[in-house]
Amino acid sequence: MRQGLDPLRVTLVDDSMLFRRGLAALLTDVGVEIVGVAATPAEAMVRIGADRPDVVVMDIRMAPTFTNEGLQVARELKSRDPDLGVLLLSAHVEVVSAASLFDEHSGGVGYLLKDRVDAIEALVADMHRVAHGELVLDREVVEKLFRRRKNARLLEQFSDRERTVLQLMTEGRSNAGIASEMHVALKTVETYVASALAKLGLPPSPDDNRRVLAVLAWMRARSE
Amino acid sequence: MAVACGYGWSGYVWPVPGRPRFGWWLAVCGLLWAGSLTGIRWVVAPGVVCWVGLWVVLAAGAVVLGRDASPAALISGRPGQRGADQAQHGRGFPGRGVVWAATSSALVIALLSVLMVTLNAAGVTGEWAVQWWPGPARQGWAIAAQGFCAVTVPVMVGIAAWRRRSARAAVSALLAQLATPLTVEGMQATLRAALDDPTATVFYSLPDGPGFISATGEPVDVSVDEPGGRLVYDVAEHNGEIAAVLSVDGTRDIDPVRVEIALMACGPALENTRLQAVLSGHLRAVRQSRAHIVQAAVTERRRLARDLHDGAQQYLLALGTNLVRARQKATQPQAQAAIDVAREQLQVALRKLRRLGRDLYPPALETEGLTAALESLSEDGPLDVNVAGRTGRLDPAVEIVIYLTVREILEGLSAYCLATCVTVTVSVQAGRLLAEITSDGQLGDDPGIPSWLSVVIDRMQAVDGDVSIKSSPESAPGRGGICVRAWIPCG
Repeated sequence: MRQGLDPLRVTLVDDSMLFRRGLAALLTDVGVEIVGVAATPAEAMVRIGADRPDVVVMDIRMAPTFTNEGLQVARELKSRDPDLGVLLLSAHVEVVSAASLFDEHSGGVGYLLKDRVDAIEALVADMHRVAHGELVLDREVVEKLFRRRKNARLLEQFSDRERTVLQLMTEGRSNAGIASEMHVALKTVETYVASALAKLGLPPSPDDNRRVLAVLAWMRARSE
Repeated sequence: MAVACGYGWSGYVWPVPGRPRFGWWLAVCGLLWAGSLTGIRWVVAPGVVCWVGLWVVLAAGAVVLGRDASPAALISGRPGQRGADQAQHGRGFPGRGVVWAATSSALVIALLSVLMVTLNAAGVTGEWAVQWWPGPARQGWAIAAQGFCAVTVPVMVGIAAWRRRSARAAVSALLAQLATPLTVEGMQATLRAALDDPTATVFYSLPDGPGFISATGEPVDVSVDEPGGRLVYDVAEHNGEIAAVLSVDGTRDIDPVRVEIALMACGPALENTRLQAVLSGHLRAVRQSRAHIVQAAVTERRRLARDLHDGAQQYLLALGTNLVRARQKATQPQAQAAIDVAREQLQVALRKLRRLGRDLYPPALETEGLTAALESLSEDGPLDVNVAGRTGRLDPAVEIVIYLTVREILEGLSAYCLATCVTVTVSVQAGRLLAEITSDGQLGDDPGIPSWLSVVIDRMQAVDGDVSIKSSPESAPGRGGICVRAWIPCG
């Protein structure tokens, strides 16, 4: 797991040369160190073994089948080095793919829509969170789960504030993160978190990751 | 004299190729033979030679006849050549049983004759006296045996002729009952019954090109000889073209005349059933091409979705990274504002593109399968969609067709039937992928198929599937109820 305030060391894996180059330049501009780039899963395994990055930022869809090779590579990387942060980028949000990633790993993984490169500071912050063993989940995944009607009906019992807290919680934000996002005091957030978890019948937990997993598991169980 | 007359009559009906009236020869030879047995010395030597020679020739003739008339001789490579062969071997052929009887009878007679002459000679000289041999004076039983053999064959020929005649009469009677309107199946069944051959099959020639089709319109290859000895008869049209061929079991005794009568009687009806077969052939071709069109459209959707993802989308995402870099480097407020507008527009473009790609071919269908893709339908439509059942991974072509079908049905239910809540149950049953959609809402008063559904039904029928819709018991009081079933073969 990453310690200290050295620049984040990142390996980029994406089969689109244009996007890879653009993202590498952008990340370099904001002070992230790109230690390696790769275009294929095989190349990625070699580069990552050699470069020892803090985080691997990887397209989920690569050769040969162009479906979800990234998931398999992530699985292999995490089994080799559980401390390595793996952030998967996808052009589409797929709840099932995201869920399988989060089911297998309790920390240090992320799943974001590729569009998020537009908010580069947030992306870098997410990379840091993944590097520190936290979970990062695109808000679109959460929205999709919320939009499933069964969930929507169950969520009717939550106040607007509680729903926002729930969503930010599911994205892996800490209470402090939620407080700054919602522009409210930390104490207020803690109250919302406690009431939301109580309504879901989930035990209160100070561990952000465990909270994320509990909420996700609850939502998926309802939507299936 | 009686013996000579018996032999003479036998020879009259003995089946000898090319020389059917053999009686005079046989009668003369019989006289000589009888003479030789009476001990008139000058008759013995020529009598024995003529007699034995005659039966050997008869046996050889029967063997030749049997070989020439075997089914293998009638089978030829090309359908058109078979007519001549059939004519040559056609009439008067008494059947292989009779030929075998003739051959063996002739050989038995010849052998008995040789034995009699040899033992007679031995008896005369007294050197080879054999106890059981009755002696020259009492050889009646040997002559009787010869006579029996000689008479067996004509009797068998007679029986064969009688059976053939009655079978031909039966054919005529059967064909007179040809049902109208005659179907291709009916024609085949009638011919099978008429020829007493359960394997007899009619193949029809294509009017606009070489090749043959089966009764159901499937293309078949009849120019290649099948193993197991099939005999193929041509059925010629009045202008000499071959309209159809009849394939019969060549290992059975075949009466070519019986086949000919059957084919002649069936002629006009065969022309009719040929048109039916050609029509069903065309129908089959149209069906196949319809299925191909649907499959091509599905393949094209997938290709387009991939092209969008790997082409335009990657360029736009790369553009996004460059816009962010430009935004960071821009110092003028106007430039910053312009870049921010561009970034917002780009986000909209990316969302629209993603939506388009998903409409074309949902990524979940590719990665996770049908159930996950159907579940994702609940994420953006107005309907509350529950998905039940599991199918496992199926042929992608099958998955996308049923996915698109369900999606369009849900859109229709929502738009025209005011449905709000649906349950989609997918299952694989007896080689079919079945999607059962139950929803609330009301079907219109018109009892027919709703127009919004007919496009969906067309597409499903093109791939040998179908869709049915009906009102079902109310899902909840006052909410109405509709049940739609869509299925497609899945291998």
